[in-house]
Amino acid sequence: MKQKIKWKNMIIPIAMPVIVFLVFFICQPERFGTPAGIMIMLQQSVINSIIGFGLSLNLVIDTWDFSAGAQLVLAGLVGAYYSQYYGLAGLIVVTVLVATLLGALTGLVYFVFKIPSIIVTIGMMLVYESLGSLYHGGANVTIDMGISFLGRSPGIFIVGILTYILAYVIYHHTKFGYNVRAVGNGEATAKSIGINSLKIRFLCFVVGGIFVGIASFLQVSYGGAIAPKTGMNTMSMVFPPFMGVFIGQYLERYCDIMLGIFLGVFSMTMINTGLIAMGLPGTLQQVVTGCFMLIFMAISINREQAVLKSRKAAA
Amino acid sequence: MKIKEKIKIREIVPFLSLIAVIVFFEIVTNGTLLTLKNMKLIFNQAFVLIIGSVACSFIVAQGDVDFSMGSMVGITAVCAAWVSQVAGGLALPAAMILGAVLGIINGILFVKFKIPSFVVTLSTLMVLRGLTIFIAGGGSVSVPFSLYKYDSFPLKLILCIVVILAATFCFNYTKLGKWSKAIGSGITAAHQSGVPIGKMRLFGYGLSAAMCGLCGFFNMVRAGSAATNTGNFFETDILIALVLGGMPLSGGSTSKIRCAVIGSLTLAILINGMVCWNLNEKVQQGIKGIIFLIAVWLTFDKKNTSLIK
Amino acid sequence: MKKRIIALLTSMTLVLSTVLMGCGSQENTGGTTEQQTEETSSETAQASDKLPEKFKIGVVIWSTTDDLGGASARLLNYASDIIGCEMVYNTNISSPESQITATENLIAAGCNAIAICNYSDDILPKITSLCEENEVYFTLIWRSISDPEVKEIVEASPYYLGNTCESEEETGYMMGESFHNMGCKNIAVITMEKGDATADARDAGFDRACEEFGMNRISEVRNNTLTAEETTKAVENFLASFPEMDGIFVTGGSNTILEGVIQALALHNKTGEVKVACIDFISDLDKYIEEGAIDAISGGHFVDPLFSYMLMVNKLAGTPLSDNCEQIDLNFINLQSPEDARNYYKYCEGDSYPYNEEEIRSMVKYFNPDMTIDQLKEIAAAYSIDDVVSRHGGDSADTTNN
Repeated sequence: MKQKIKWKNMIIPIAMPVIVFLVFFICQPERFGTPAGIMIMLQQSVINSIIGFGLSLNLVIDTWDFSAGAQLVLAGLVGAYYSQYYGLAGLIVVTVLVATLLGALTGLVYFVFKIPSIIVTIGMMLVYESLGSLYHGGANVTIDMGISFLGRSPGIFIVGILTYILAYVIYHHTKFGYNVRAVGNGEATAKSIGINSLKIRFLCFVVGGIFVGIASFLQVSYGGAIAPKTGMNTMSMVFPPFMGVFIGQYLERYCDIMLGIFLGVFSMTMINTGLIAMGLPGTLQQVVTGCFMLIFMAISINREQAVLKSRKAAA
Repeated sequence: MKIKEKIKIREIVPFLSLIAVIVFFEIVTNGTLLTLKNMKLIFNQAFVLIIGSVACSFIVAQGDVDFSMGSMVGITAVCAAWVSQVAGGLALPAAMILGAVLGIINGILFVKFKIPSFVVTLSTLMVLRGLTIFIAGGGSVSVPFSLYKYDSFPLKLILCIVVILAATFCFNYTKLGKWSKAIGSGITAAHQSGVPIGKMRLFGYGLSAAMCGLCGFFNMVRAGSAATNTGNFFETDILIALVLGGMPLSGGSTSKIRCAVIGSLTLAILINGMVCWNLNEKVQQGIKGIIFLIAVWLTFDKKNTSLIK
Repeated sequence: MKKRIIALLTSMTLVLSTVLMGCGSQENTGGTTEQQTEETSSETAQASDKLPEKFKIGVVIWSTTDDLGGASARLLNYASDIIGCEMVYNTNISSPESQITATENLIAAGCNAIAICNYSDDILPKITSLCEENEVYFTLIWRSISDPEVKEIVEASPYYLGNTCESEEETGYMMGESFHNMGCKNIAVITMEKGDATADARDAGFDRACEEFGMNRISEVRNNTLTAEETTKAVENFLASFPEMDGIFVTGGSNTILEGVIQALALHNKTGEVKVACIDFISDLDKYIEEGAIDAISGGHFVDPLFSYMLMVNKLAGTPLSDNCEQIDLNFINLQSPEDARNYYKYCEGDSYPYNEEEIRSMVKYFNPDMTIDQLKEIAAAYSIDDVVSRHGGDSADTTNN
């Protein structure tokens, strides 16, 4: 019985990306699924996965963070600027530091104002976007090619794996992670056993900021440049990681949530790449990704309900 | 007595915010804000926001969200534009019927398949935006000149008043409104009291999306076309307007239609006022964010909310 | 109580920091500040150098911070400082209806004239009636009107002064031709969404070249708000799915889109192998051209709004250059060598402007009674690196122009 459960735990999370891969591979074997193509898709999944790791801490406790994209851009702008003086160290340290501070500021506003996170993070998103467009007159910042090696293999994978390990350890093996899970499973109960849920929410923003900072310097390295974004356009940057987290939350019963997030993001990346390989218009990508999300959630939730019902009936 | 006073203060804060914004910008713009011409402009800009916020109130009263409103406006506008090229008189009904159908699909996904509303509406946002681009042929769809006459101040004013009155009546004096608020106040108690929760959710999303169709039509006649980015970020503007007006996001009995109206006017005046004040365009957005946060902080009912998420 | 104080302090800090940064930037953008009012009043002693009234000119534009929008805004602010006008920008234009709103708000802000970079022709009848109702002059920048019905309505308005535009279709064709000359056959395109007048025209020209020279448009990405990272992803997807790709055409490369393309090719060691052609300039062009990262590039049209601005200013000053609406044609600048790029940034953009104070003032009939509309058109038609160098001196021997 234990072995049977272990197999299922391994098969189900992997089944999703495998099925997506096979669908496109069968349709376009010459253009999709080449070794180079797979490497590119894995590479492209790293940044959104890291953002997802940061957002997951908030989403587990039903807290939204729409400001993550704006934090990423603002931190990237500052870090890229200082990379001109301090090289790679400047890029990494300043970006992560600024993103963490921005996360802390968001958390502080949430903690002090005591208003819903969706409001706080939309408000702070507007502020951070504005600050980004004011920073050095809103100029784009390009980084030196020599320090952008973290944006490609193997640097991006090394950083990605280290960040995954960090996320895993924080979530599963720290008191903070334990408290996050406790609050996520029932805030009232968590409060009654002495967990300060507001403090935990504040810390989720701070820790989330660290992951956003890591994603930020990877994004700057990957793109070679960064530009300010206004008009709430940074909000769309958090949708793919959100989707990844929703998928990760449902795969959590079979595997680690962080792995589930990566698998979710990777699956959506394959969908995007697969559609391009099939020569379908880019506009369909959004349609397919949205439908994929709905179908996945519908199957997951209703399967869960069906299992519960059958267990009740059996009992 | 003190508690009653506190409750009263919290209820009037949105009014005070609106008055403060008007007074402030009237002063800094040297009287430009309250000229008849400018007030007409503000109303023109606030019109779709008011309609959308009022309709969305039924969803928010139930404690749910709808992130797909912007995409609804976009797709209904594009479809209405195509229909208008064949039969101008059918454009508005087409937009509203399409909106209602799409809204009900949202509701079905939420109710029948039990997918959380934020996941449904976020996914629908992506699907509909992609479909909008596809239906629009990737560009914009022109509207016949004959429809431009619908972009008229008197018509919009009358329509706005009718919608507000109808929504207020429905919200306060009919089962639809009371059940919506009951669901927001406590879904278990509502269910046990016989409130048809599934049907109410379908109603909420259907109504909201139908009114998005109305907004899409008016956006279309205002701009002379419907484009792939028509309605962009409309859902965020609605959310900001509702919260500025003091609408509790958790819904419940304290939800009021006037929150939608006050918040929409406040937001429109804020945007117009900042431009009239010649405020640096890069700063305007930041100021909007800060005012949004402060306004919500002042109006949010912390004491009666056990868990702030 | 403590928390309320912290909350108040936090919000006041946020307000102060954004407003202070904004006020600092406001001085640069020529927006109204007390300091600027004082500077302006101290300058009234030199009344002959400024227009008799401080006209307010509004601009509806997608951005004042990206490469193209930012350069244009700086030039317009410079011109306004010289002749004594005030500039107001509205960048809240994410959709057609928001462009109408932006125009309305600029009118409400007291603008005497407005320059608009309209998304498409369809909003122009509405803009026209708005401007007529409020007696505000308007011009178009980077745009011409292609819809004949709309053109008739707009040009019939006494408040429409004209437009400045470039030959987008021809430039798209030239980019296609340059790919052909480099031996390319299979080209991927990164462009803006359909319906954007500029992108459509450039696409049409490029497609014409593809048909004429037998090239294939193998894939495309259409997005108005791509970041460098998103562009890098898109190019990587092209590389993965279309190994036969030998060219990438970027129809609008500002705001780090071109940097993303260059980065992606560099990451996969395809620099020079996959040819890159782009419309819009970015910084460090000399370096990129030297490294072979960019094979053909056209741009430098940030001066476009200046000519529409001059139509408006002359009209407001009571000395209109023409009684009819006028179209002013501008050329793109084509850079073909690192030297070209260096000269461009030395004389045209960056720390210098392509038209100095005297030249700016001479475009205004109030200061230069001999100015005519034909002369203004000639100035626009002559715009090139050679033209700027010849007027502002310099030691660049090897310059090539379009």
